[in-house]
Amino acid sequence: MEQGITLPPKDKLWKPLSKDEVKQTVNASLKVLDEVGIHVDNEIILKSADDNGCTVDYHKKLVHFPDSVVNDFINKVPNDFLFAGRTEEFDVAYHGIPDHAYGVFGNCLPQVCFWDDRTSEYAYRDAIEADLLKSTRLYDALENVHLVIPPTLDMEAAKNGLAQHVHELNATLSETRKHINLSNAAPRTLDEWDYYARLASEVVGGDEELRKRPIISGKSLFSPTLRLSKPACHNLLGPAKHGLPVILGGCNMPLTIPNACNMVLQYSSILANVTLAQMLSPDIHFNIDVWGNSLHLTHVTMNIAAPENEIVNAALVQMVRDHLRLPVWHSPYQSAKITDIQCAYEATLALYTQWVTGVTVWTNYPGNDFGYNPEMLIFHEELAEYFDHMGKRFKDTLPTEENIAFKAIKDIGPLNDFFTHEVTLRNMDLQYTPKLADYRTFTKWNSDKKSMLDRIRERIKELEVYMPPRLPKDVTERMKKIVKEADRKLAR
Amino acid sequence: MIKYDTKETLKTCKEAIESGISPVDAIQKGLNVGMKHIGDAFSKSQVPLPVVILAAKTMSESIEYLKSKMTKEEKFEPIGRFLLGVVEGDIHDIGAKILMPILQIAGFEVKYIGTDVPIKTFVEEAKKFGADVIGLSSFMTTTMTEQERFIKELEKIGLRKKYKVMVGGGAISEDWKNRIGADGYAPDAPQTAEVARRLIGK
Repeated sequence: MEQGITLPPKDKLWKPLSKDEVKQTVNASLKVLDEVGIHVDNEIILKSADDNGCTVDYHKKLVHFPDSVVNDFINKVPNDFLFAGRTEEFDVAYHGIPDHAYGVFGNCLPQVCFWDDRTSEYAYRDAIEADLLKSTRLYDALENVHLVIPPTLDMEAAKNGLAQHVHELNATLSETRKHINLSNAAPRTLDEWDYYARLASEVVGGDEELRKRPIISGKSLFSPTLRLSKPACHNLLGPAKHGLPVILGGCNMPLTIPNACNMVLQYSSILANVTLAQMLSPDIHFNIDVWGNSLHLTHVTMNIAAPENEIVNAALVQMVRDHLRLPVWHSPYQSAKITDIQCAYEATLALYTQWVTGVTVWTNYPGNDFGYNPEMLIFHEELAEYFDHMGKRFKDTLPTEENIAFKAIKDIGPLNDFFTHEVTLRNMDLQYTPKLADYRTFTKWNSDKKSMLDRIRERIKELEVYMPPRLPKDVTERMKKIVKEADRKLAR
Repeated sequence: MIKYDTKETLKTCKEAIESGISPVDAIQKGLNVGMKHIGDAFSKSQVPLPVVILAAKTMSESIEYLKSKMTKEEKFEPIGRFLLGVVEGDIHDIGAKILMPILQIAGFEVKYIGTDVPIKTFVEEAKKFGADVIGLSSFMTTTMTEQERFIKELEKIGLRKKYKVMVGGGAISEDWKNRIGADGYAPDAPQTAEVARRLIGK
């Protein structure tokens, strides 16, 4: 079972809103669902909403939710979550909201950004299967990556009109033992979900086993707020059909209005998503993804990690934890185009906000804009380790008798040192030693002048030889046949 | 118009007509100059998007007013007709919505046919509208192949040479445009308008 990244104690988390403000936000969100409604582009989900007490306009595809219906269903959400790995060693399992966070640090990027030694420049190109295989192996190797979203897409499969996302899942399953979340960043159809389930079943040993140990999960987000698109509906129905967990969330589109309005729109979308998911399948297990972002109105880019978004997301994390009492995922990404200071500050601020608000799964997109970049993945890993240490050190920061160690202070007094005192000897292993950041003196550093980026690149080269255990040959052969069938039936 | 004050702009248009300025001149030497100023500022990230959209709206209403004052001999034609839509399976429309006012600023008449648009609808709407340029937007990698299918469909029905086809969106690149045989691509809205103008020879 995966240990995870230590979060601050629950009573020490940063909570931007007071209890009354949480209540006001909930009430406003319920009012939106009742008076404004949401658009749902799927007849099955519309019917389910209708059957369960909502007011449905089938012609306009609008659903209005009475407060009582929402409150009824959100009180039924399950509390136990299992994101199974190939073996139990790689399971991420928690009851309620865990004290630890788990790293994903990836999300279906269509390009790769890489350092070209020949030109000494960064280059971007479309991602292909080889990139997906290589990047997934890297994710499998890293200690602070606990779940995997296919890090890149297979643009070659897309351009050749093949069943692209089936190819991608096949590649990812072959290269990692960790649980795979099929992010909504790649749109998925119901037919594709059947193939995903078949591929995953081959790995775990059957459909029933897949229901007990789901090694894949889905993600369904509104896009924009108050609109559940066709692909998002498929991402609810597909996992529900196969008994797989799903990550539900608020908006996946730009909002540029006062933050409280942004927050209410997102929270109402989250509540609607939870309610509809529960209606479809009472056993469905889900976490919530907080994913608000805004369109930068002058640069016209999506600024997910911008400060105005991060404060809203911090408040939303609190809302989900305190009101829905569910674990939260969060996915900012970097706008920086190369691995530079901008990248570093964006990643650090994003992860710090996640740590201090108690986000359970840190998704992020460690790359450069839409280009997967292993340098940023390694940097994220270093950050995750840093925050894990901060979390662990909380315990001995609290002023208990043991932690104050008054006897030690008295023993040593003003004139001696603590180096060999038993208190130091007992606690010295708690001290953080970074893998990549440089804590040496200037003189020592000056002997090789290596930057953090140099050390990141060395680490990537070291990890290039890593190969995860292979799936049995008969399993991979059956999986190949499934992919070929998907190509025949789903190709455009 | 730069302050997207429709009321004041319409008032100024009325005063211009009353003082003997022709409606065509009012558009070409007045409104167009203002919109070019906004378009240039937007391409340099000096004005935010809402200003551009509102200014384009002001311009549209003002042009409608001025057209109503034209004599039978006076004509104001757009430089071209641009049909814009998001391909089937894709619901991401922000890019298309940003492009619309920029194309209007550039002098195009624009018809936006929405998201999740089947190929058949693109063809029908292009005929009805009398499009010169058809723009297909695709944000996602799985729907970008619709752009290629559309071009093949135009070839199949013998209409390929009738229209200039532009492709755009998050997943699209110059390489992709060349690969599928589209006529134009640009990485952002202001450049799209420039490419579109060049394609129709304006």
